[in-house]
Amino acid sequence: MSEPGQPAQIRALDLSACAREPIHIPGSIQPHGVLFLLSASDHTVLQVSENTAAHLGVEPDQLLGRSLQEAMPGAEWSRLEEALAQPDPAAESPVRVIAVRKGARRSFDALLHRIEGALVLELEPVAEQDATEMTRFLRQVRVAIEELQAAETDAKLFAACASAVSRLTGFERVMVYRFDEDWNGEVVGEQLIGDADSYMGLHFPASDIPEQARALYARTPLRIIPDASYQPAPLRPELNPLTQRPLDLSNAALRSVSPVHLEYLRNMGVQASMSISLMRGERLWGLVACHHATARILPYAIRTACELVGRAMSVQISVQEETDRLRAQLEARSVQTRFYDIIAEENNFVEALVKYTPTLLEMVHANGAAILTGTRWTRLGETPGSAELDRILERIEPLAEDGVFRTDALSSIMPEAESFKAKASGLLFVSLSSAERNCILLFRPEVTSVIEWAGNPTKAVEEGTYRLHPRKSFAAWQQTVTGRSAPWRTEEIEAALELRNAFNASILQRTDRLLRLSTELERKNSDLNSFAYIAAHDLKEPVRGIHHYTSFVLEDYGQQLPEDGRQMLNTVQTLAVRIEELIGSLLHFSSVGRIKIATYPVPLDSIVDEALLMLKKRIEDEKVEIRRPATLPVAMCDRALTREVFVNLITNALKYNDKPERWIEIGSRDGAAAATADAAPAALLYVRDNGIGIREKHQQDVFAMFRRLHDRDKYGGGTGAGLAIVKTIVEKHGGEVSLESVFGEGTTFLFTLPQSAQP
Amino acid sequence: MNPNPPSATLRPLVLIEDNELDHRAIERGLQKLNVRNPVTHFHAGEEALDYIRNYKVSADHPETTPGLIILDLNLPDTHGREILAALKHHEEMRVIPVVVWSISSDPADIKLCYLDGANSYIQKTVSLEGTQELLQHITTYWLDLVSLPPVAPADA
Repeated sequence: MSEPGQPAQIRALDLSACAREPIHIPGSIQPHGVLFLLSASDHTVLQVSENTAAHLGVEPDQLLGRSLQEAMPGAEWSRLEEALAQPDPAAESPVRVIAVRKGARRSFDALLHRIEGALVLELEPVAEQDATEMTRFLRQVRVAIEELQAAETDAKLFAACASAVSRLTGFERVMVYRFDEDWNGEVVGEQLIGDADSYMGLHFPASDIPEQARALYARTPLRIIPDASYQPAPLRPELNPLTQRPLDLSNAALRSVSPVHLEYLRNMGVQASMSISLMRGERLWGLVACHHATARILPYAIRTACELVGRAMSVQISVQEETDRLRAQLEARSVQTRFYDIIAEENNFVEALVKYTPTLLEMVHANGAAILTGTRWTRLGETPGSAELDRILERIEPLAEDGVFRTDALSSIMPEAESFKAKASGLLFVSLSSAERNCILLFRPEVTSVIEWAGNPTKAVEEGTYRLHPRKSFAAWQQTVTGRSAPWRTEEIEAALELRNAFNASILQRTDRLLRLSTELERKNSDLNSFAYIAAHDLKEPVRGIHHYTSFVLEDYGQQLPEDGRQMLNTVQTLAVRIEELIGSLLHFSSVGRIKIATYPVPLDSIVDEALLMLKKRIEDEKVEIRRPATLPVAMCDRALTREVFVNLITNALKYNDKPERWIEIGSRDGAAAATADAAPAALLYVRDNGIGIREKHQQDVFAMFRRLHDRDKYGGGTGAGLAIVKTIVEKHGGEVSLESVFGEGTTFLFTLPQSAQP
Repeated sequence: MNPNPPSATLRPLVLIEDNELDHRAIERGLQKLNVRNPVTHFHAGEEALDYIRNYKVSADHPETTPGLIILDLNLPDTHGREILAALKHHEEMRVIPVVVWSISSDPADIKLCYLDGANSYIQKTVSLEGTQELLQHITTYWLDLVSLPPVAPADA
């Protein structure tokens, strides 16, 4: 069969056997009371338990098809009739009914509930109770509730609960039994009377209380078996005549229980048992389980008192757990807040995590963490190595739901984790972003613990000859659990999830910061632009004044000046015009430097066409031959600015040429990719002339602003800004400029532009 | 009726310009071009704004309504665009063409002036010959070529 420490296989067996037993329709009741199914309309008996003679002195056949008054005229039914007339008779329970048997009056508690369109009436014999006894129960309940509320710790709460139920019932062993996540049970509180064996701290496998039993426990607050050796009293007829199916006895206090359960109780040496459901919201949290070595009947009044204690306990459990959760959450929050403050101050999320190690690990109570950004692991604390981290991620990533996965037994998922279980038995995985491969792995060390099982949990159910038998030995059976860490609490998982938010927030923050920087930069750029214009205009105004006034002087007094004087004034005007040109060029150069380029795939031939068109007159005037040997590539460039590059280079070539036969060649060269080491392939373009050439010592200078190699009036003037602008534009495109020249023979200006992917 | 008859009722030119240099240049220029329209000078922005605020077309002499306004953008006391806005929001003056006359080559300035309703934007040149040339273009276009909006009420 299964190996120790693998409860999953135990559950598999229980699913195949006990879990299939239809415990809500046993077709019989426990014989300490009688059960009737009454028609809803006239309350005639439709079905009845076969043990009526023992309690009421009437045979079942005398009852069937008749009303109770008809069958038992001597009894006092009036209060029962009233209750039956109510819309919810269950709320009226119990009703005191007195029957007469062999001349003796007997009191019964009548419990009512509706089911399957009919009424179930259960009669349980009671000893006559006086009012003072009821008051005593109520007082006990009140004291019990006070004790529960006063309990400061879980242990005290469980003990108080067990003690209260013990006082009310006198059961020898009263236990508070708590389910774990897998429905294994553990005795967490106990009150013993006499020399009953203690079950405190013992664990019970989930199969002990199979799923359908748990479902029934969640529906009904209390079950009792006064005598585990009872002979069940079958119902007559076997099926509910209204439905032709077995009667659903889920809500019947007398419901007969599974023979397997009775055997289980007898194996434990238990004759009478009672269980009270403890609920945490909708979920069955646990039970108050009561055992007695001998048969024990508890009147309905005491059971009701126990039920009240159970409900008070349920509330207290919820309150306590909520308080614990809030406290843990609060603690996590305060760590988180500190943590976020740190992250907010750091630019780099991972750096922030690493830098403040104790805080991250503190937050989720982990001993190690590994953060994956792209392909890089950043490790802190106690973690497996990088190669192991890769394998862990590979294994558990597909298991994650909503980007989260946790386990407290990593080696049960991937056997190789056995080798590093000391560091990483517990694993919490949180993916940080879905877009990129960013995640955090948090690790907890192995915590070796010893679990005491009530009997060998792997032998919870023994196969007998005809049917399954529960185990016969409940002697404490120790199991050493290895490869497990402390479990991850909900608050800790939530805190880890918050990391994801923090991560995304840090990205947003960084984006925001960049955005602000770029906005600021844009604003400064725009400020600078207007500053450049304003400065240019303020410079232009006086220059304009100089020029104009000189003109006025020449117009008004020109005749009175000697030729020499007029010449000088003309020179003043020429200089003023030169200053204005320089200011204009400077302004243009500075605006080109700040302009945002808008690049599109552009066939460069079309740009050269435009440039040549702009220079058409000058080309014709100077009789320069334009050579275009081959088609130019398509470049990713700003059309207007690239045109300016060609215009400036062609203008340059037009200017500096003293040959009788002048030509300019515009083309492209291969092998540009080699020129730029990285990035996209570049188009290498050139404008070549057979002009005057540039001496080698000047070749570095030509691209400098306002750098002129020749006297201003030679070669058609100009401000010396053209090549500087060319360089700026090309560099804005990520390209480079260069030149080849032989002095006296000609110059080739070369530049690169990013080539378009399009042909 | 011809809104701009060749004689007797020449529509005045309004020149809003603080610069003494431009006054001289424009006066000389107009003289050389033989433009005889009367010229109303404003040397400061506030002065011009007062004039605009209180302006009413004369019922008796509608022909005294200005035919063209030449506005410098850079005035010491008021920004030219404020005056442009005042002109273009004035019930009666808004129809009068405004030629902005400025040294600024800032594209932002140019765009804003057109947005505010300027009819032309002309950049000042450094040389007097340039100024003269511009003046000739302005007067030929605005005073001879185009039809200016009629000033008399339609039913008068």
